[in-house]
Amino acid sequence: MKPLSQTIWKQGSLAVAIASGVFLVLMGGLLLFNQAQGKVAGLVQSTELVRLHEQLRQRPQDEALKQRIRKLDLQLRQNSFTELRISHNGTRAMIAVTVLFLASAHLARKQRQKLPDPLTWGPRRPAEENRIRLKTQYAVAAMFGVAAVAAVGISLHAVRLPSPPAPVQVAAIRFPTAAEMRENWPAFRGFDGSGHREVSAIPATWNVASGQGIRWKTEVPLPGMSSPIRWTNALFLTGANAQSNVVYRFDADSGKLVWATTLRMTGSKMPGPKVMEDTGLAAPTPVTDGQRIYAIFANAEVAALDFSGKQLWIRNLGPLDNPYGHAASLAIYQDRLLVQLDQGEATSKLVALNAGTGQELWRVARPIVGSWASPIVVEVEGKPQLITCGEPWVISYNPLDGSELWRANGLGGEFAPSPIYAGGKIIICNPGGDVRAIPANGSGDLSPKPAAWKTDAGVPDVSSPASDGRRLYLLTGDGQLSCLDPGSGQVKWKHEFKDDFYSSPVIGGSRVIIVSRKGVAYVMENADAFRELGKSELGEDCNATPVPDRQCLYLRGGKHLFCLAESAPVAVKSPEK
Amino acid sequence: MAQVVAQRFPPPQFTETGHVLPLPTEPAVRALWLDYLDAGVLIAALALVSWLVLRRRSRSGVVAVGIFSVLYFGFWRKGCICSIGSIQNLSQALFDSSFGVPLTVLAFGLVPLLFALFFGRTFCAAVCPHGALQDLVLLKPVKVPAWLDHSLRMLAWIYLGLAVVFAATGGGYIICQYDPFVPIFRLSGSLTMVLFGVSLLAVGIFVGRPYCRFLCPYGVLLGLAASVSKWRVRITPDTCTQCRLCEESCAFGAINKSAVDAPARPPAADKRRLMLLLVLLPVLIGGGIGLGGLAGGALAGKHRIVNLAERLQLEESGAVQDTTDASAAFRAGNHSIATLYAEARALHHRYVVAARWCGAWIGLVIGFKLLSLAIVRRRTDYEADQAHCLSCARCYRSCPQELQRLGLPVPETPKPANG
Repeated sequence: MKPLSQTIWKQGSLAVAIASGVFLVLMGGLLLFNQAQGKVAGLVQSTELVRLHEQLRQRPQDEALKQRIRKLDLQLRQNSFTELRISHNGTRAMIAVTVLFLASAHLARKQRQKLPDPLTWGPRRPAEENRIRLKTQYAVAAMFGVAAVAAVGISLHAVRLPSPPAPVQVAAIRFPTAAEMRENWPAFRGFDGSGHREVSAIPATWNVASGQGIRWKTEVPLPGMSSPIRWTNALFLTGANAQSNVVYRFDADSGKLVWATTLRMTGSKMPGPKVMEDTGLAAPTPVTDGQRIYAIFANAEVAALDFSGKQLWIRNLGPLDNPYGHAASLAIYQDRLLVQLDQGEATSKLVALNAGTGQELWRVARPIVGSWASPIVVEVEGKPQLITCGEPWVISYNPLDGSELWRANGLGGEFAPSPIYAGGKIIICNPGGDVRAIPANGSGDLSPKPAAWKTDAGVPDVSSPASDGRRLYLLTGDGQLSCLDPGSGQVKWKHEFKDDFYSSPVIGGSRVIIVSRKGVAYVMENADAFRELGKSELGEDCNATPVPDRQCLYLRGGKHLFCLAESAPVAVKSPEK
Repeated sequence: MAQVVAQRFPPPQFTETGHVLPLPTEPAVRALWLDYLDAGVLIAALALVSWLVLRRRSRSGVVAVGIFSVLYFGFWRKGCICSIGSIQNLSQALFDSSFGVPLTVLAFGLVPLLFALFFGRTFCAAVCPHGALQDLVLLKPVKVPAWLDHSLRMLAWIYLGLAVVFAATGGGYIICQYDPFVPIFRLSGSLTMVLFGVSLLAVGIFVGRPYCRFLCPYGVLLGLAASVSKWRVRITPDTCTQCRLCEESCAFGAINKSAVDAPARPPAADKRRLMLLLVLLPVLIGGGIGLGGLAGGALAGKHRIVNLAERLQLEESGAVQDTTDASAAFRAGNHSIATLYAEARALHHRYVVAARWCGAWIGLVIGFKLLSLAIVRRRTDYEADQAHCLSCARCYRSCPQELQRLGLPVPETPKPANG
């Protein structure tokens, strides 16, 4: 007969093991239930709270609704913390009881443990053991089958990545010559961004009411601050609203709208850009290489179209977060479309896209806060440079690979005026306080070196300067036009116009033209002394920069595109639907 | 020393209640000497368990160290640092020269293997908190049929291959991600992983150490090292009397029965099977390479860069209509999509190559396993399977010689079956 204490241990340990086991099952179930409840009533998952927040967005002044949200929010938080407390305490209790369960169960098992009795097993059967060995082999082989099925199953979810870009046959692409580019007006403020062209027929005056000096006038369907560009007889322009980004082609001779292509970007839904009214959704001027037109809009959609209006490629470089909206125009060098996207020090960048395919060729981060100035590509001592400006750096890059050539700091303010290259120097209009000229043939950080010249006379704040190499014209937003010697920075003359200006001055041969925001155009002589040749009203506002051409001047007003010419007949056109 | 963490967003102002937001702090960096202490404790515990198993033949000593390991390496160190996971650090360091491995991780990865090389899997016996925890919950072991036991053990080899693939390609540490017991040691984790861990423990009440036997990738390496160990677990302290008392004593199916009747030369049928398996071996390896190549393209999707590139590709092609947090963040940042695609393509290629190697590994392992099953070795004693024996010391007391050595009553035993 077993001693009493042994019986008590045997029965007691079994009872404790059973009781603690039951507790563990119940507590485990309770914790799972609590977890499930927590998911339903959790703060983040509460559909009711989300619904109320949605209502508050529509009725932000509804105090009763606010109180209701606060009350529900508090209740949900209290629920969450209560459930969390239950979960924590329950887990700790479970661990303690698990220890008790294991100890008592092991004890109970030990009390009941019997020694094995091989006498009852019978003799070993080698044939049976061989059969098991064979069965095991089949089972192991089957594991390979299972792995194979799993591999095939997994392969159905193979990652699909874009194919590597085909090597660009640079030699096969015909780039327009410098002479062709100069002959046309392919970018914002012309081929090299200087705002100058040697022409002789810019009209000094016109009259919209009588039609005097207006060769044609065509309505532009959608608004935009962008300026026209021209290649042979094609004028290109962009316009946009919240729904559409559109590129227009007009016939330069007749003003007829040849085509209007609305960009089609399937899929990717970028957040709508936040822009100021003064910037709008189509501020950047497009660019052309004579084969394609490239346009960018405020929502960072960049596209290439052929001259028949067919969209060749499109991509989105956004989302953009420029405080006023994106305004920098595109630049092009050979097969590289150059996009300056200055938004903030951590996000500003310069991107080069393959003009033929839209694929990214290189990208560099820029230590620049938001800017609105456009980049220019110039050739210095036979080598191309991409000049960019923004607070606090002017940086020159190699447009072929994005490598930095030189930089100089000291720029400040909200940077809208674009740089120009004149007299071997890069002219920077620094809204922070001066206009400065920096030799373009430096390398590395030029900050410690003094500028070739500096002046604080008539520093533009929005307009970009213009220069024919002999004279440099600066226009401030409040109407001060200054003429300087680009070599020395010496002021030749100044004149105050009682008007406001965003549009940049341009030089057409012997004449300089500026257009105010109200649409008043002033034509001056391109000379060392101020002489006004004419003043005319457009009849609508104007923020775009004019395009001087051989026989006329193209100008985008708030609603129309104008072709102004000496003694031209009136031709008003509406866009074709 | 706690440091103030910069606020990313302006905090709300509790103007009505006047609640003052506490300053967020980040935990102090763990002192280096504590890491060295971990390594020291590991080595001491390994030495102690090796002595307890091989010299003292003490099951109770092993259990005591096991409880200590669960408390120290498990609940105190929260399952990290861990020898099992260290495989990944070592793999990544092997394939990425820029990746450094701390000395402590190196110690946790290599010292148990070194011990296994000399003393068998004493790490598994009681030093590994995962193994020790499962050992503690094992109450009523049931015998897993040999065919199931051997085939399920293949999973650990496959898991090892995949873990190396992911670690070597920078795709993540899947052993840590899917560690079933760390959430238990930390008392926190995803519900899925907690349930996985609890389920394994519940199964472990009846099936001895399911994770160690069927899943543990480190156990595979320890098994390889232990199979050539100098000193090993011997069931009997004297000579085996073929009493068969130990036959059912191992909860982990790691006792090889004696095979004194095994023919010196295998029969013709066995020879033919052996030849067939030898021919099959390259087929399995080749098949593994092919299947690995198939799966590699999908496995690459686990890498965050490949995943992001695929997502951006879908967005760019218009196949999806919205953006994810990752793709929106990428677009907002200063990153080149072309560079990302190029990087993703390179990673994709690495995955495919690594998965092919993994497939070859799986084919090789299964092929060798089939070969080893086809060969019957002559064995005079009941012996612990060197590769699979977890050195738990359970089998010692089933041996009447051991009971005799300890002065305990010896049960009646059958006469040796083979004379």
